Amino acid sequence: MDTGMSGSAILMMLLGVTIIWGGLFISIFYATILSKFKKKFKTEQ
Amino acid sequence: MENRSQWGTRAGFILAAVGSAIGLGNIWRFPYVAYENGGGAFFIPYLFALLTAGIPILIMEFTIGHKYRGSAPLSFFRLNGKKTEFLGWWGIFVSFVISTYYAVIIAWAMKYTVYSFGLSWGKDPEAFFFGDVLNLADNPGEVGGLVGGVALPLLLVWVICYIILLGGVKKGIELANRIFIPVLFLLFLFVVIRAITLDGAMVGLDAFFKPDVDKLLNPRVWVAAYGHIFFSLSIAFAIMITYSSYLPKKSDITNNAFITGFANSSVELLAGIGVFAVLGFMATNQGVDVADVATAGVGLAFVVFPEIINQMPGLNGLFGAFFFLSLTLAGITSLISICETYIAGMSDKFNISRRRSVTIGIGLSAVISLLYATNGGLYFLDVADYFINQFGIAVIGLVEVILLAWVFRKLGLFEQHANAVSDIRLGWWWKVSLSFITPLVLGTMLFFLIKDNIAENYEGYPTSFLWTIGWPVAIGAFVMSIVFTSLKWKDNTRITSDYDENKGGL
Repeated sequence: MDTGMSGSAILMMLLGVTIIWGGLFISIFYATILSKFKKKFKTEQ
Repeated sequence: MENRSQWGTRAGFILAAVGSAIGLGNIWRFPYVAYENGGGAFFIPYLFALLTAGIPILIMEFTIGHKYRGSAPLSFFRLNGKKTEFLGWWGIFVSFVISTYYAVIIAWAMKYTVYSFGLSWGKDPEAFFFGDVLNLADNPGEVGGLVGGVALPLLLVWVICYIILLGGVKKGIELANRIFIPVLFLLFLFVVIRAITLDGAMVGLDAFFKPDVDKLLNPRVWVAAYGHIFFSLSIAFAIMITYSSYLPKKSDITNNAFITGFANSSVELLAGIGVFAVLGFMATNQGVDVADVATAGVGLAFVVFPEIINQMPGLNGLFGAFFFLSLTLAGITSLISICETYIAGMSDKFNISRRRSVTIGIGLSAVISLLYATNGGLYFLDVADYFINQFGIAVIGLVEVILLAWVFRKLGLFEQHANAVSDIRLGWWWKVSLSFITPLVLGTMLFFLIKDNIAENYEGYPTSFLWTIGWPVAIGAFVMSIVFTSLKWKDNTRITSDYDENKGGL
């Protein structure tokens, strides 16, 4: 499939998107779910 | 005793911090900076800068605000007395200058939102912007008269800002960001989706993402990455300290900084995709190279975008309105954070009510901003923006990290505080970033900056003009910070209220 973009450009786009949007997703996931789970686990211990 | 205001929720604080960070620069500066400095390869220094300067400084400023629970001058006063109080005022005066011209750009964007529906700029958007809208004077330094078409929307911007800030932290700033940020995201998403469905969009994206790896060997590319991260994240000009001072005592500082940093970069990346997709469309349409149409700043937003909107096959008006409304909302959420710095600072130092502080602060900024609504306004704006950003924020950032990391050695104290309230623990990475990497890169940046300004005047402006507006605003911000630091705190109880020195706000 011809996307009109070179392979290196697609690679850099995927890299940027994965790290930046992935970083945001992980930070929010950590704040909303993981930290609560961690606290609950500590309390139960 | 008046209790310090607080954010209603954690999401409210994050949206306000993200709203402050996401401004006009994300949309019109980042795409071009990335393109000029290696395209896709720029993401390597950019991410490095985000993780070794942007987020570490955000964590430091969130910690200062949260630990010392005051406006920037009050927080710095509690930190080390008058020896550091000036840092807070310095940031505040830089913010004050920025607020005066930032409001004018929002006023243009607001006007263009309405213009979009009828494509009022006609076939020559350049002539329309500089002639019909700005009625621009022939030479820099000429003030001319007030341009009514700019002054009226400018007044509206200040009225909106006044109403939001008068509402206070929770019912004003937080509520506005809770509405504006999701709306901004949806509008901009529409703009980007429409952009990437245009013919030639992929040509633009290829130009934007194609890595020029050789550029990574150029130190100026790394300095550009650090410079952009620095200006983009609203750090070193008192905003983040002020905002985090309204956080409840139990708040996760470190993760909030990561969310704010990554959210800001996510929007920048989205902006890069949207802007270069439409530039690719324009280049394909005109049969030229993307390099021939790529630009940034005022020219991109108010000249190139209207040209592109004219050429679009459908949904022109709606696309234009959504784009300029996105600029307006991004600008307003940043402007209120900029104004909040001096409103909080004045209120703390002179023990005056919020209402009075908002009225004086916004009133004064609004009057000064009229200078940029004159015939010669664009020249004044361009030079003030360059000097206050380059010689204001960058110097404050350098002085701030050197004083806190090396002279007063406060990083250990901040680390202890941040770790006590946060889930993610700070370690050697944070200290190394602030003690070595940030001062080194900011120092290099200033070296290049001074070298470039000695070699030639910014944009070829006459030296006399640069000494009329450029240098005075940059030097004036520092001088005023010393003057305000020398003034006595009106009510000493403000210095100790809501803060326990031994517990450090905990």
